[in-house]
Amino acid sequence: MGSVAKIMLIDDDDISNFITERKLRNSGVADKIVVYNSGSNALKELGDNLTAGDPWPEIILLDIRMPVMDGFGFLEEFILFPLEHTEKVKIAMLTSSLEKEEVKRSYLYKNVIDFINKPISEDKIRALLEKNL
Amino acid sequence: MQRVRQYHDDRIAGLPAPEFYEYEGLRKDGSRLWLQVRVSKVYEHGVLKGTQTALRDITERKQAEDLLACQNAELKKINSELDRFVYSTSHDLRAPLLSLIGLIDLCKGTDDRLELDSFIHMMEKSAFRLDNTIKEILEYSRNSRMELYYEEVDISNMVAGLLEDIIHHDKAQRVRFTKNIATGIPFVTDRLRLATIMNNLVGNAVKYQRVDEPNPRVDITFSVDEKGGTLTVTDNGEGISANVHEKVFEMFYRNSQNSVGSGLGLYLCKEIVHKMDGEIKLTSESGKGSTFIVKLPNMDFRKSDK
Repeated sequence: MGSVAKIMLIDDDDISNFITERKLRNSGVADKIVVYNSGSNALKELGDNLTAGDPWPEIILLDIRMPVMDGFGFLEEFILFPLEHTEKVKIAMLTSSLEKEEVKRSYLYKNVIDFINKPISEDKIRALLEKNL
Repeated sequence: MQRVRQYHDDRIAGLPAPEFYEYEGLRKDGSRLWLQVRVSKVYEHGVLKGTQTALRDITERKQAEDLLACQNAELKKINSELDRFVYSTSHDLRAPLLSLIGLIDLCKGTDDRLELDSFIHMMEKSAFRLDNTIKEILEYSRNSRMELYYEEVDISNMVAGLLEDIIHHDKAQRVRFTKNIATGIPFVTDRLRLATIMNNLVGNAVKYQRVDEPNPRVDITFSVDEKGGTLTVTDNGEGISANVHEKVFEMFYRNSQNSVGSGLGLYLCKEIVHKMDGEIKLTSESGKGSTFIVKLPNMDFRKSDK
């Protein structure tokens, strides 16, 4: 399985984050995993990274239903960052949603390469990493 | 009458006019009635002899039609709510369940006692969250299904019972509660529904306290007069910014980053208050706490008015 330097996880559900983070660690796909419990906190971090010249995550795992700013709200803001940075980031939706509409809506964004139903498993992580290559 | 006359003349002149004309009028006693007017020409051996005008009282039919339109609008509202319900429950019911599945999977992969303990603790939390959401959905359905049931309610007793329950929650440990409950005038209302409103408002005040506030407090006041009762719940917690004051009452809307709820609580309060012919108001500023005011009619005095 390939691996990346940094994966960012955005989800408001703490327990779900615990599970996802643990699975990511167990599968050893990333040197670093950063977790944010809201889209706005994650956006702020990405902005700060740019200012400080720190590298961005290669992969973002993004929940859809979150209070205040949902996953699509995050995507709308994310694509406003400079293209030279955003084009390198692959995003996978990570959700309990079974809605076909949301799958379609997600793939309208160029960065979105996967739609993963919770809970994440090592197989699903492997499949995602293969898509990233 | 002008338009009825016009209709009559149009029919006689053979101008395009519908077969019937329906209009709303007043009876001598001032009550309203609906009439149907039908004008037709009368021929004898092919020769026009005159006109015949028939009037029919169609008030009952009109009332039935109005009722049907009302019921139809109500059904449409229920239908669109049901759509959102199915959509949201697919998330709110599945999220904790999927966490459980994920945690069970993690349990299988370890023998470490401490790790297992922490997984079990999280499984417990997920199960409680699931149960809580189901309870709220049941309360919602109970409110829309069950008839209102009025009885005299001992508010002091109700508040005391509520505080006793709530004090056991982890988050309530830091909170100082004050209560100011008016006594003297009896208050008659739907006890279960009022308790649901109180639970939700006080529960929210506790849940959304500010972590950086050294003295979190929740004040509960209840005043009553002949016309109605007023419940006020004030806190110095997170607060709600003005642009979402209407939204917080919407179904499944969650405003707080720290939200652990299903987004049904305040929606349920609004629906109950609406059903009980009362009103619910919110004054709040982000970061400065919230005040919810609920006014409900005092049913006892209403009855004796009549």
